[in-house]
Amino acid sequence: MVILATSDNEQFNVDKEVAERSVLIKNMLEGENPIALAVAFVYMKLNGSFIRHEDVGESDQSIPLPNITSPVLKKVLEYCEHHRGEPLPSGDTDNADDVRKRTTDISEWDQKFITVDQEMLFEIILAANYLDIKPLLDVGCKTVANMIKGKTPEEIRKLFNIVNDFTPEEEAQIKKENEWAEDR
Amino acid sequence: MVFLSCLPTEVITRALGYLSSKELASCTSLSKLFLTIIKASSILTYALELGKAELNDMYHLNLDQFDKSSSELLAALRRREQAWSTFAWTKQWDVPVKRVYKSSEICGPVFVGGYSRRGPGIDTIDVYDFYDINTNGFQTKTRSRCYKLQLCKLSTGLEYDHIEIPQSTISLETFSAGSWESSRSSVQIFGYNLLDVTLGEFNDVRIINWKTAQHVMLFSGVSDSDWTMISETEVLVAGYGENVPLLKYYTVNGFGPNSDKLEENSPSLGADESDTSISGVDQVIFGLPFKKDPHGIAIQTWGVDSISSEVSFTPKPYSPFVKSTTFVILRGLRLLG
Repeated sequence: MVILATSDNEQFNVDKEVAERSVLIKNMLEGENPIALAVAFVYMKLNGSFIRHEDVGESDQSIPLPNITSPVLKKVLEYCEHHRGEPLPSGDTDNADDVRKRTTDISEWDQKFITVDQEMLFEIILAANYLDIKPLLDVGCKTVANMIKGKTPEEIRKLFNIVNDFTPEEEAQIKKENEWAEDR
Repeated sequence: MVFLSCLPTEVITRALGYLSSKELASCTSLSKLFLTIIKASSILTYALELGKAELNDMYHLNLDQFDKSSSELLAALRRREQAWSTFAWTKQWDVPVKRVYKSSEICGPVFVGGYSRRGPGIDTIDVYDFYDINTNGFQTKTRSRCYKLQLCKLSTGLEYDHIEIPQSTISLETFSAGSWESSRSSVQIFGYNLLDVTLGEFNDVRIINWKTAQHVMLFSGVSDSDWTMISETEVLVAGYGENVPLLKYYTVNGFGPNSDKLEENSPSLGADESDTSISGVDQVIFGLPFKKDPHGIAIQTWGVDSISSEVSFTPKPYSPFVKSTTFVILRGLRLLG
């Protein structure tokens, strides 16, 4: 078992296999990423946490996850639990070119899983990014893409609380550049 | 509260990567942040510009053709678009052919017409999609006239439009003499605007939409004063389809009066004027760097296998290719079928 400690000092007992869906945690457990470990410790110190060095790397491991709150971790672990045992994606698929080749299809379970409010969606994406859980990050990114699809810029801004900070001139310029994309 | 804008740039890039070109275009207008993110990512910019180039579906691209990095793809795309943008479709080009050619040399100027003959018989000549090509007395034996090519139809928005060339303009007879027969080529259509699939097969050449043609060729005149036939003509266009039987091509380095040099594996082209044969390749089209293309890419010579191997050329002072017309082959984006 691995113990994961969230930023709000909640501890989660997790099967090693489940926790290792996170490449970050996997590396930590394998001691491959001392820097990540060190960074985590610094965070914990700054947060006034009390986990000592001896707590990590021993049988009763406690891994601090200072960027993640317990509701989010709970959600992430739900994902990891469901997908446990599936092969991990190979390490070098992490480039944007790769992303372009895929579709935005999301499996039924994942779709249900990711049907959350925006705040949680972004939290999950951030956590997946931080914990390095590529498939979950993809699910999140696809969801964002799906939210954008088929909407006008104004609708997208409204949906995501984006402030249009272009000057009218800039906006006209962009509109001109995008003329090709308009439906004719 | 976490907003979309709070996510790390690379995560936003990743999410935007799932969008189509048009959707990306709308995202550029969301806010400065999004514009910046898209412009900063070569793959997103590439996707965007693909859409702009009417090559919407990037999955059709043969990525093997290029280095797979998106910045290279983007650069190739931009070169291509820049090349296309140099065309002024309303212009008229003269492709003068002033000398008497050996009949075999018709392989050279054939591109002018964009015609070919099909089948073994002498009696069929199919003329495909000239765009109002006015040929004045295209004579078999003395091909001494200037063909005026007017790509007028292209000025109408690049829509496919088949123009029939009246038989009287180019008579069957015109092409039936001499070794034209033997020079029957499967690729004689460097030309003209092969706009649509309706062209179908053309002796194994399948012409597809020019915008998506696999190879884009730009032809321009030679400005060298010694080669006075044309000075600085504009470019002409041709597209190659995916099934063009390009069997050989050769890289030419600085082909010109003083530097007739073909790279390794290329046919021997004698620098000596008396040595005029090119062996091992049947039709050669010489490429020179195209001035308007800042990258000077793809200086290539293309050989076509199906022409009689008897054909020989006289490079100096006689070669129709070298002295009259320059062909610049711009490699376009290769598309999968």
